[in-house]
Amino acid sequence: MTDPYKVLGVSRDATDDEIKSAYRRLARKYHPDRFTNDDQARKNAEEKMKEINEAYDTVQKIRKGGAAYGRPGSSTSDTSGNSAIYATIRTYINDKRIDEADELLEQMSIHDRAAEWHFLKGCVCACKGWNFEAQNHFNTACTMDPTNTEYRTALNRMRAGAAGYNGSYTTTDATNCNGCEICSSLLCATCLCKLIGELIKCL
Amino acid sequence: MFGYITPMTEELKVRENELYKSIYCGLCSAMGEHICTSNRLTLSYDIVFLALVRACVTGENISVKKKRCMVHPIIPKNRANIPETLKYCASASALLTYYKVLDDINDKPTLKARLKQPSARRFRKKAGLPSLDRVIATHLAELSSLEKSGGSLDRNADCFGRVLGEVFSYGLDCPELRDMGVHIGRWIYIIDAAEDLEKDRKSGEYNPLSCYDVLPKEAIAVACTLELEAAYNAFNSIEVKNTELKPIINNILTLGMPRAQNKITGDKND
Repeated sequence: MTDPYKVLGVSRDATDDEIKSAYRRLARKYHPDRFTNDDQARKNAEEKMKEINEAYDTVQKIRKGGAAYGRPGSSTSDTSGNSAIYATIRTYINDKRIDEADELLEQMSIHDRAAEWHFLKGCVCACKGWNFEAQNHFNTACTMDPTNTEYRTALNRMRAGAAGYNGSYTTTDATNCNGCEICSSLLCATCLCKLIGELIKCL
Repeated sequence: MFGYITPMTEELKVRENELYKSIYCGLCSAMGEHICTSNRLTLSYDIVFLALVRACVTGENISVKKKRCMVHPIIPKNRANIPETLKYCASASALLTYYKVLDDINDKPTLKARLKQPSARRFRKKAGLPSLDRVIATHLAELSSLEKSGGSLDRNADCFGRVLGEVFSYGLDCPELRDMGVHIGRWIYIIDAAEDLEKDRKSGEYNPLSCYDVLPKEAIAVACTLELEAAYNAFNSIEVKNTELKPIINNILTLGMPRAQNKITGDKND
């Protein structure tokens, strides 16, 4: 893995502001929108941009949580030296190679299963649509490492997803209301006709 | 199947409710016609839902007539006739009843369960649909071996989901419909496990949730709601041919089923 500081072109003891300005400068330089005419150059720029973003995120994480360098987004509590495996599993999950990721996870011994193991297992379950178990693993991960925001976010996102399932009926219903509208307008029309009839009779 | 899939009637339009009831009536008489009279006793709302969905997707013509029957001998009731759909649903229902009886006997071979077996066998024979029968049998055999080995809730639910995926989409080339069936099946399995937890614990029967001391209500509720959402999305991505039935189905998916779910996962004082 490349050194995120090198990617950003700053030294390890640079201040946060220096890093931010270095990131901004690079982001402007490699912004894909600047290469609209040349497809190849655009592709390269996109790639470079991705690298810069990742490096910036990593540096931010290292500075915020003091996470060990070389494991972007990994937990601080894991000291068992499984970082390489976890990184591979993360790549598999990102590439949607869920079965391979699951196999690697299952191969790890039960004693090695840190918070990150449960988080990744939860991700694998969620990808399979096994939402019940996914929540359990995310929960375990959160209990084992309460400070980790990544685990907490995953659990909360899942709950928020479920909370959003409501009221869709009323919206679909509103669009299908034509038949009802016709009925009610017909009713009104009938009433009016009767009324006019009565009026005429009175005259 | 367990009768959780009902509409929230108070939110249906009057004509939608009439149509729903007439399809219920039509299915009952189709069960009598295609299987046998005693099969009508096994009529369930879940199969009515299946009929609604299949009629909605295929767009088969629905004709409603007032008819009398044994249960309503004096005042005639509206009865919907959707020949192909209802015939299929009656057969599928008969097959599912057969496997339910078989499962009950395997769980606990009581006299009551055994007494049901001969008629269940007859239902299955009358149902026809040998290829569907085979698929259901394979998946359910897999499910029962998973349950014996103490498989996880989600793994078992997947297996049951595949059964319903097959039942929903049988004979129709519609992957979204299969998806919908899979999610409905997973929902039913999880809800059923949650509801039966207390009962199974007392009787010592198998329950995939028995490893939890207390029912993890929130996790169950979130997981079930996500299943419903997936089913809803799958259904609404289908270009259905009968738009009249769509609001009824959406009512069931977004109001009726969440209500059934709330009864089990919600707080007691709700």
